[in-house]
Amino acid sequence: MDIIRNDNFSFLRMFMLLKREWTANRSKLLMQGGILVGILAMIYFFVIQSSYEDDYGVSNLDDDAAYILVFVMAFCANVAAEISASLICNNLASKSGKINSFMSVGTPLEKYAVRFIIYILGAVILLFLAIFILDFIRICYVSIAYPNYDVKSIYTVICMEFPHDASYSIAMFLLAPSAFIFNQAFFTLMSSITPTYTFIKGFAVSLAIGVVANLFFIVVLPLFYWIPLTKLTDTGFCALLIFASVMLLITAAVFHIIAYYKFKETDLR
Amino acid sequence: MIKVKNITFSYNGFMPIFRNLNLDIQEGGIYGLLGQNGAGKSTLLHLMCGMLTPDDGEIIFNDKNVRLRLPSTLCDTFIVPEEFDLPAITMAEYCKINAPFYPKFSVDDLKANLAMFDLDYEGNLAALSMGQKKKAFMCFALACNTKLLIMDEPTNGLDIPSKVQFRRFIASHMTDDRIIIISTHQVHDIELLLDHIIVINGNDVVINSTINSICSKLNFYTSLEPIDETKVVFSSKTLGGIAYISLRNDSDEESELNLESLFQFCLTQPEMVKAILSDNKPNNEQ
Amino acid sequence: MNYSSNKAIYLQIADNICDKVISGEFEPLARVPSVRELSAAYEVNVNTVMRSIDYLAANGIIYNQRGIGYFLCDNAKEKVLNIKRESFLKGEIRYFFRQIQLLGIDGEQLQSLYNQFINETNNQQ
Repeated sequence: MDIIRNDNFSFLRMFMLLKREWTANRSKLLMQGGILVGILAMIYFFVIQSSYEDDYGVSNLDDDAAYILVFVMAFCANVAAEISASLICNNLASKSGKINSFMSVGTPLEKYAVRFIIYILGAVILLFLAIFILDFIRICYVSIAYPNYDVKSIYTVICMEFPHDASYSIAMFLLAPSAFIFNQAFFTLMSSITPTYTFIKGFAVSLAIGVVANLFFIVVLPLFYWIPLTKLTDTGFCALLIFASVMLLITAAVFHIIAYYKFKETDLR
Repeated sequence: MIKVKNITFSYNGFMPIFRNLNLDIQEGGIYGLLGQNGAGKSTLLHLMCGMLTPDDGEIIFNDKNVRLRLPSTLCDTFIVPEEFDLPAITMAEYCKINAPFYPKFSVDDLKANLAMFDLDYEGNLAALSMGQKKKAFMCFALACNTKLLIMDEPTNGLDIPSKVQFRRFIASHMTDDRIIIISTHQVHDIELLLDHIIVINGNDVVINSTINSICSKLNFYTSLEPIDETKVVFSSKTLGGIAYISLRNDSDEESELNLESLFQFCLTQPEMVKAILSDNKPNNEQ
Repeated sequence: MNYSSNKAIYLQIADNICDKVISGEFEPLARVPSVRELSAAYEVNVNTVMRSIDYLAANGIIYNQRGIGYFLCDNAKEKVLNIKRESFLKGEIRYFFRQIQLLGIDGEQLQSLYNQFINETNNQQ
């Protein structure tokens, strides 16, 4: 049993802990995942119901639903990832949960990795799988039920239907994912600081920061010398987007590291 | 062996629970940790498991600092807390996912333990009452055969037949290389099981001795009429008369320890208790 | 088992074992349960049981076969009865006599009451 008595990080032991966490919380995790997918499905259903009409005589109609869904699903994915990230330290919300976590046999990194895999990675995988499958169902259904529409997948819309300039590509494929990762990391950090009612508190904090940031950038800064966005060249704008993305990713990484250390240093107090 | 070295601890920074606490606990015994509510029994136990961080000092178990929460220490430690949650799975499944973390775990022990409490190996843990959950968890805890086993108020919430089962259970599980620490404020529930006593009161350890060494130094008896004797160090009125504690001569026959009396003595005159029992060196006992 | 606070626990356990020897529950030359089993049955610490065992061995009721365990002596029952008789004659009987004296029952009355008691128990059997 040298795996167990080894004080260094061990993948095998981490998988044992992962299996333990899954088996012990199977029903709760399945329910949480089920609710998530269920809500996405309901939104899909609603959008489909309101977007497509039988239109006799007119064919090759634009698939407006797909455009709407790009933004709706981006928003939902963000919120879902944030809620999931809020739960990463939920096991430390109660005394018995803390005791269970502290006394389980493994290094702090292994224990944190297990929570990370489930609530950060697992959530993202589940989200994108769910959206992919739901969209696939939508395409199949619309192709059959409303053949007068030129139905497209969300992916096609993202890749092909918006203007193809550099700044768009950067915004869509670098800035948006960076923002997603940043949002998730922010709520991960909030969870490690306050494991109870994390999402509400995180939402309140981000609202407060948003208000302050808005005030700063829109009211305070223009009072001083500042390059208005419209005067930027295309290259300048792209550089700004890339800079913003990198800053978001670095901050997200910092948030995750701090979250891990808060998790590691938690006490029974 | 557990070495508690110079532990200072407080929850809020104002009122210290412990100040420069020192304590050595050897293998091969059932230790009773006694103290009033709020004296710090649970705090001390949590510190021993590494779940609380001391403001100063350290606790060493198996040559490692317990606060590091190293796997090598954790796999040899098990705590049965006062309150805990069990997942909604069968004991068999629970065993399958948890037992691999404890190198000395034995399934046969677990099944034998469950039999002692009339519990089912295939039964769902969520279907058990609070008392049964406690018993089931204790069965698993002892089957892990960890060197250090801690039980925080284990008889709380157990009905009287269950307490009998509990005593039988613990009595049959003593081994020479194990440390079993049981904390309680219900002295009568476990007093006959113990061979070491630790009493904490007022931020400090008042007693850390074997029952044998206490009985070699003190006499305990009850009398219906008041006795005037110079060797009496403590007396208190009880239902059966007046309970006395007096200093023992070597020629006196040894008496049975009256734990409740001794505990009262600790609460009222801790310094005298320490002075009487202080030349006791637990390391040299037996 | 309910323990009283008068007598040392280990002696109360030894007494209980002696009662079992008299009643025949523990037969001569039979193996005494292990210290672990006894401590569980009596709900006490192993060391307490060890003291009881030592007491019984010192009084010749049980003996130790090294490596195997403790066994009841062949004449365990007689030994136990002897010990109980001695203890009764030393202490309890005086208390009984004091009661008799206080209640004003004389020797002859005592003898006839005892004969009556013997007849009754014989008839019950």
